[in-house]
Amino acid sequence: MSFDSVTFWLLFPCAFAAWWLLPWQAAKCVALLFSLVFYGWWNPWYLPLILLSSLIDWGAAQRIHASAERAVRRHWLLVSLGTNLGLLATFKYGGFALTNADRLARSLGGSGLDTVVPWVVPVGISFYTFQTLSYTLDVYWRRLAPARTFVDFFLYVAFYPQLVAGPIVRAKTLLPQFERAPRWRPARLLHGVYLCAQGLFLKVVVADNLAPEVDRLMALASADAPGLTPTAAWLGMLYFGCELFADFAGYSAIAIGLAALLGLRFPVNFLYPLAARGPAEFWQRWHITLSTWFRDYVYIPLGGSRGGPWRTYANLCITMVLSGFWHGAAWGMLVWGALHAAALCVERAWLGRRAPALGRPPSGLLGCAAACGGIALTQAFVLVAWTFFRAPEVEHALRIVRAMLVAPAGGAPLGLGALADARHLVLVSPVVLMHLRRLAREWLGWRESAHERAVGAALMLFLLAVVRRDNAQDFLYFQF
Amino acid sequence: MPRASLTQAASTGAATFAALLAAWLGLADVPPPLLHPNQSDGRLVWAGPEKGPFHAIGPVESADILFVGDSRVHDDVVLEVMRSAGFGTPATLWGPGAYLPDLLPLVGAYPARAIVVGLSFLSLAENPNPLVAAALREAPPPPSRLAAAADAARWRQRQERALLATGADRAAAAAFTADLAEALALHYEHAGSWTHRLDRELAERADYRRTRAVPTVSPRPWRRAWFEAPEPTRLARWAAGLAAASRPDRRARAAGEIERALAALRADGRRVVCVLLPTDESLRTGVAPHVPDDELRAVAAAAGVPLLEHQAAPFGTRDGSHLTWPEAERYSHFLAGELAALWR
Repeated sequence: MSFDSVTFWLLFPCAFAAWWLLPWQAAKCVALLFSLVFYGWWNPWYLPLILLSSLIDWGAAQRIHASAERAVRRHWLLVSLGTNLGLLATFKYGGFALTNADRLARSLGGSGLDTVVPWVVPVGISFYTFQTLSYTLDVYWRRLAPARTFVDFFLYVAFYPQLVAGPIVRAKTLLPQFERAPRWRPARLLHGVYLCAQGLFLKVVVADNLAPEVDRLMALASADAPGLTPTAAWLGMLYFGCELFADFAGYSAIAIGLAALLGLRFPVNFLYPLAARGPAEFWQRWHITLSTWFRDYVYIPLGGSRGGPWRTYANLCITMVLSGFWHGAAWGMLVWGALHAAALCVERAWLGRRAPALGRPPSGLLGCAAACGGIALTQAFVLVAWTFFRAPEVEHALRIVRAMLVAPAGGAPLGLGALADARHLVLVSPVVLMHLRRLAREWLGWRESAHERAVGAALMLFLLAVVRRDNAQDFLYFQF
Repeated sequence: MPRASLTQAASTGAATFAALLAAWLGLADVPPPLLHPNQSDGRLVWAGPEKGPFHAIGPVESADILFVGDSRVHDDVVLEVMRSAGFGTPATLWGPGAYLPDLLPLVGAYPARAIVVGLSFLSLAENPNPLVAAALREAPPPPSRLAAAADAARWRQRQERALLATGADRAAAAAFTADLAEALALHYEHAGSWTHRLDRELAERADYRRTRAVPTVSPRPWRRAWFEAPEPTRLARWAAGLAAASRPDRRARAAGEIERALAALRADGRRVVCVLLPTDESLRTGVAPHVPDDELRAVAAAAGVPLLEHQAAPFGTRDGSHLTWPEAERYSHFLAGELAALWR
């Protein structure tokens, strides 16, 4: 089931009523049942996987916590890591490994392999395995006591607002909230409604209507068609940047909004990433729960920035390439991760501690001009890097990058005629307006009132009512 | 935040929404879309080896009345109107430029007791697109529980190889099989689990109600919906060319097969009606010298099936052959009335 489906919004009121009206333990059981229905709606045959992963992590964490012996603790940690990473390796990366083995075999003169694996990537596997991994690791490092009951733990893993595409909520954030019934707070409920409206607007109105334009660019790149001009390439990637933001930030907003409707708090996942002034700040704003996960469970355990500049660069590269690979089993994802790693290293080497950081507004006119320049440069880089994220083949991505960067320098026709047909820029405007509003808040201290938010929500609901959805798509991050 | 302020803010939001909607409903003069905004192509079905694919919209396996024909049946007959007209559950079985000798035998496999067949000159002409004919002839496997997507990938690979073997260009084959994958995803969505079917049904019903209540806009066919006027002469030359190229001997063979299929349906106790759907005069003028309507009349007469002649009825098309959505709704009411009178 998906947050943008009619079915979900017909069933959610029942789950909402049960959550608030039933005794707390019963409410949690009903929420767990609803979560399983929510997941099984996609394909019930993959439910045993999530149950298996949860059972093993639950048992491993109990034994790790109960034991004082290092060897025993390590043994159970390895069981948990092996299960989760094994599931990921098999279901998510099995096809990729087979395809490359097939290519290798063919290049060596062999007969090749059947490269189609007999399963699909289970929806949300990357998210729930990372959640359970962080749980076992936190228990192992004694940062967290294990969940009191299996129902609490399984609800933490399978809780429907965050099960399929995040945010990646840590156990230390969610499990304590399951210990006692939440309080009914009208302000929180209204905030939840606002976020759900915002998320649905971003997904249904912006992302789904931009998607066909992005598909058109990819078709041009696939066929290496003459229509792949610099203007078409930049426009198409701008559309994709906005589509991806609207799709994923929209999903996260609905997830956080649903949690708010249930009286819970989820961490922020997107903080207006198009306002980032540099690559480091971009990752403080984009998919925050994933970047902090990689920071806490990969980058810092590798040594972080404690081992001198070269060691830091190496750690950054490993983390970012792994992050790229987490997003998808494809060479393009690895290139995308490597590009961001390179950008982070260059920024770190060049600016060091002077690199722009979240919450540090620019000072003076010159500072504002530099910040605007930083935003433009960062977004241009991000758009170029997205080509490897979106294009199905690295070769196609390189064609787009060539059109974006190399062709204009070589004197190729810019294809400015595409601008006359750029009516979809109208769909980009809400995304830009949201970011301008955020910049006004961060740089000038402007804050919108409750009434202004209410008007904004009304406008978004109105557009949801009158803008058609000809191209309903799954949320993009479902495939990760 | 104090409860009074919250209530005030919520009221502001509700009042703004109501004002925006009222202004939109009262002031907006948005032309209705030319195409049915919600009707998908439907899932793919095969009549047999190398006979297909065709599209099925609605519950063809349990429908009471089945509309059969080419894209004009898909576009011109609004199932929601037929549903409310009291014929029971309606469904459509169609194919682009459907070759009726292939499609009609499939109808017998479904239990509908009433069959409405849209006849046109295309019913007698074989599918002119060899790429479509070559690539889709093998039906995809039924979706498996764990890996419908993997089955689809294998099937797509086989279609691509088959296309390349016929000498098709690699880029064209890749682009075409990408379309196939899309069609197949939809097919699996329809044929797959009941949960997906329920999602789609609910979404289409909700969208239909919304579109009836509020004039909606779509950024995708933006220009078509807002700025393009219908162009009733657009397909006239294409249709005339196609009709001129069709060979009389092939048409006669196809007509014979259609007659036999219609007669078999009648013999099975079905109520069968043929209909000539409305077209623009420019199109009829171009086609008539090569494929006169008499050929179609003869088919219906030979099969003993009543023929509703609506080809010159005053309904506006968007391209000469397919009705615009508002006209399709109007025509569907008209057709429902004619069918009710016929079957009274």
